Amino acid sequence: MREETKERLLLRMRQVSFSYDRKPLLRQIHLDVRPGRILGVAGGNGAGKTTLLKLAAGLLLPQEGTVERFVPEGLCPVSYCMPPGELPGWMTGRDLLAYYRHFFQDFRRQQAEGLLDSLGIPRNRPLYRLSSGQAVLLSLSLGLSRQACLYLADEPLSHIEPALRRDVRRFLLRYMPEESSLLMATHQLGELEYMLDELVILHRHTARQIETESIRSQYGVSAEDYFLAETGRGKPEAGTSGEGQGERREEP
Amino acid sequence: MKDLKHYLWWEGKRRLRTVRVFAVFWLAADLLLWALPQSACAWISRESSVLSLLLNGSMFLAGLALAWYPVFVAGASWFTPRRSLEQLTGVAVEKQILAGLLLNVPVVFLLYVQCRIGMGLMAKLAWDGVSFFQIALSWPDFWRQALWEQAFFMPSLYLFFYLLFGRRGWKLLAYVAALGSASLLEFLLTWEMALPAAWLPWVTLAAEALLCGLLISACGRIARRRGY
Repeated sequence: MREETKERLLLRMRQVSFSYDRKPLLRQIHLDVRPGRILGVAGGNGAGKTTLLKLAAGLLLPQEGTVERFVPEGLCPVSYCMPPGELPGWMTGRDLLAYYRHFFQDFRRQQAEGLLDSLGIPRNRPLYRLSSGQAVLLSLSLGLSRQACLYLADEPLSHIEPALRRDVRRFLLRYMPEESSLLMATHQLGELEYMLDELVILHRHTARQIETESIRSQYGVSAEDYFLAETGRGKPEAGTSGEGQGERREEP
Repeated sequence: MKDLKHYLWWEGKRRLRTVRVFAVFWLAADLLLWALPQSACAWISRESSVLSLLLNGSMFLAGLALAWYPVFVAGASWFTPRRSLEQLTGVAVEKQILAGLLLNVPVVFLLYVQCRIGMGLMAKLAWDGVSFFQIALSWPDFWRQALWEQAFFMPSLYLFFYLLFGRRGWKLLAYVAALGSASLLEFLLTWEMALPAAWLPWVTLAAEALLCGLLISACGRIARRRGY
């Protein structure tokens, strides 16, 4: 259990539990998000990654426990970069820009427009006519154009071809404000590991939060290998240097 | 109020898109029937039962939609399952419910207009002076029954029971409960017989409006408790 500190937090979850139709999914989850951190949430299918993000966003209420958001002045607490499948398919980029402007006071429309133009995403085409990659980048552009202290992204690399994944990774690193944090659900740990400061592993209804630097120094393995070991799919071998670690926070 | 106004705008746009196929279909049927000369219509109704059935069927759809849409579509499907983007806006649940119910009114109005147009045009297919659609929707009390009860009151009852039961697939039960409650309310309001006749519709309207307000509030509470 992480030691309680008085350090500044953006999000704190304590003893959070959530069930769907009386089937427990998350039990007694503890999670701390500090400013300027990138956290990866990893887990098997159905482990509760999306649920955890939605609890952090306030889209779901925990059945037990508390979720606290600590908001610096001038920022909104959370910006949820929605999976494209959850955005209305009939809306065009122009519609979504107007929608965000109407409902989110912190939305920076000019930044979003600039992002869409620089990425070459057409604004007049409905979402269902965009490619998967374009839809993801549109969603991320909208989400990152809000002035938030915590950004949430649900599997931003899924359904994206390898060449585009690099663009998405660079996009996240480039446009996320320095003091803000990013909580990202992902299956692609190997590709994102160099970006991550912390790893949150969801397994058997619980969560374990650990610094990626600790994984490297203590076990000498990659975050992906550590995750596989923690979930019973492999054993980390101490002293073995992990592959593909690269420099943190920069594209290898 | 600004967020309610914006929510009405976007929900209205969404609804317009869902009905545009039906709108085009009915417009085409209306134009076809209007353009067909009476001799052709007489021939169709005499000789071609398939064509006659198709044309009657398309207008019957308008009448069916008028009965089905307010409850099964307008009643809850715009609200459940919850759409994440609407949740993120932070607009109060009660305002979202109110906006949804208000938007039922123009849709039901347009459905009713289409029904009346269809009835008029269907008279061209009458055979021996009797048309399938001469079984007219005689609705002298249109404003109260159609625009209030069908568009607003019944959907709010349905949404309440749908949220109360809390399970998908119980739509039919929620519908039956809504119908039963509406009937019970009508029975309970029979005490109104003691009132002067001119007061009756207004007292009924006031009672239903009060109940509607309570239902919206209750729906909001249940929705928030469920994390909507």
